[in-house]
Amino acid sequence: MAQKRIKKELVDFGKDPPTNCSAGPVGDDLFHWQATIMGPTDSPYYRGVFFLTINFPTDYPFKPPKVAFTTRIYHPNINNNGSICLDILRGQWSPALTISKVLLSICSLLTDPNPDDPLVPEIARLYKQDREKYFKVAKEWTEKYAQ
Amino acid sequence: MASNTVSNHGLAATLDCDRHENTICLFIRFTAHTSYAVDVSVDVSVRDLKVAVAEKAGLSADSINLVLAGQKLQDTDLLKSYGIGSHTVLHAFCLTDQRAATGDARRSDTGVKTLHPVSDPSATNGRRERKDLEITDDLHNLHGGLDSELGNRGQHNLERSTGDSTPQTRHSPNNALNRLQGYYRFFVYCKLCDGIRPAKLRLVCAGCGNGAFLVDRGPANWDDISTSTTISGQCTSKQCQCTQPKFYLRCCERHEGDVDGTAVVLKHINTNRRRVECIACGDIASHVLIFPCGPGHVTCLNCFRQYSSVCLNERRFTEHERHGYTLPCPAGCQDSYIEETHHFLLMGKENYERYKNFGAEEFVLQNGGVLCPAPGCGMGLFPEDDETRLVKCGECQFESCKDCRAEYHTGSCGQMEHLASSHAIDMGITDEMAERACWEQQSLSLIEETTKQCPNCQIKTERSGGCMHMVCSRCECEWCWICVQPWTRDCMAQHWFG
Repeated sequence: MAQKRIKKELVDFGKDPPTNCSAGPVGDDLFHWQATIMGPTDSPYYRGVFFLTINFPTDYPFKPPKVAFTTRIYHPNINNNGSICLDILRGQWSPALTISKVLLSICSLLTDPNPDDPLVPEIARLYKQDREKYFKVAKEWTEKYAQ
Repeated sequence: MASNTVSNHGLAATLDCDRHENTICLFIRFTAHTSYAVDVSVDVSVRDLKVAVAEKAGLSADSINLVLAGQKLQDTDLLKSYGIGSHTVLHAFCLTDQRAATGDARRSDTGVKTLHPVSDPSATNGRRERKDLEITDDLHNLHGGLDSELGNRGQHNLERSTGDSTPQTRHSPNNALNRLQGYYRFFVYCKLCDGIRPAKLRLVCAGCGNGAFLVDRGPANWDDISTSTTISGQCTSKQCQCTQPKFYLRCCERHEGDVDGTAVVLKHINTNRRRVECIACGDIASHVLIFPCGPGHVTCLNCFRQYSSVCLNERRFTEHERHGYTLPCPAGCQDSYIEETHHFLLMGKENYERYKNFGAEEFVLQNGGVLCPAPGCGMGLFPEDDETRLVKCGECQFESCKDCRAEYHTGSCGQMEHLASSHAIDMGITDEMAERACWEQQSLSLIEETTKQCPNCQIKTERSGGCMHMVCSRCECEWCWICVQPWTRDCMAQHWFG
């Protein structure tokens, strides 16, 4: 069941890939994908290429996929393990969502961090109090790790 | 009207079909004791059938009225348009012309279930022989299809039948199409077939049980066919003045001595007429389960099976006040619970047995009961609300302590804690004994080592992976694996991932 659905998502993804994103299986394992997100233009992540791993549970799509950044990123909702604080990857997951939609949501999270539900409180604090400095550090990290 | 009318379609279709497969056997029931078996083709008109019945019964065809599921069959309609299959019982009655005419007028006033004639009634054809009454009967396949797992063969047959656009459908306006499709709309769990089957909607007079009952209008929703239906009608029995019909669904298979109550309505399962994609796998299945949520999300039956099995293994079912131990739409919509628990039979018998056990356990626990802690027992017990802590299982006679749920003991429960305390204290487990203290010490220790208790309901919980944010599968309490306290923002900031 999960395999059929993942195959379908792969086909759909190929037909209509979301802007600035790519994704596909690593080797022969359909349940393990790698994805890339190009940093959105209006963010400090611009010109960065961020890699993510996607692991599908066997009972996908009734359980959310496990998505994490492998490239380091300075962001209030992404910690240094690459874990992402995004509601649709946890309690708000629905089988109607797809990897394509998840990647798009992550893209918009890069443009618009959610400092009120932070995973890294220090970054959230900086984001709220000194946006300029946050922008600068995030840009430095992008240059250092994602280019 | 000539008594030997044969519709053009009936004749045309007869010419190029395999007549052996096309003849169906109908039972025409006049009273509980008088019925006739008639072999006909589904593509002949009702009038032709009446003539055939009249010959057998020694009556005039004009005096015979045929009733199926509360509607009087119209002379010029094809049998096929009513979705009649082999071994269908049609109820017959003879009335004076006046009463029959009144019935006709009333029915055409309401405009319900009146099929347009497909051929000129005056066009006669002298070749009204038995072989003319034979035609393709795809509908017959419908009745034979759908094995207990709704396997491919059954689905194929159903697909073919529903997709079959008959001449009747093409020439007639929507009501004919609706009727054909509506025929496959119901599904039941048949206890006699031990599986899911398409169902037929039938009705009898609520007073005398007579099947020849005419309704004022056809049912439009589930309420219409419930016991509190607002549909009224007229019993054709001369002795009965009852105006209340009683609707029921029966398995499409013919069971000898078929009685009421053998088929459980699976109201969420339907033919996928709108060709909606399954929310989970994206396939367009022939049959789907439609959740009763606002958007009406659908899953194919395989995905529903997987969804409910996953939820069963994680005990994510909910004990619902009205609908029992059930599940909501997988997209998390509000008020979307499956309303008839027999749908979970789709998980297979073994899982359904587990489901029933879990449901019973949940019911006991939610209503203040306890489960017998003896290994292999698990009987639901409701201890009396008094001072004594002794709970004796009526099933296995095991005596347990109401407070700590271990084997009954004298003295305080705390004294028993040393059994497991060496490992437990560090993990904050100090206030409750092991649930099944009669297990071997080794097992007990292992449980204490690998589990922590939900701070809300004290259920022992194992963390198999993921982050420290736990959601109790029993009470839905969100708690922190490290603090063993309700989950806080601090937990998220400091040790969400350990």
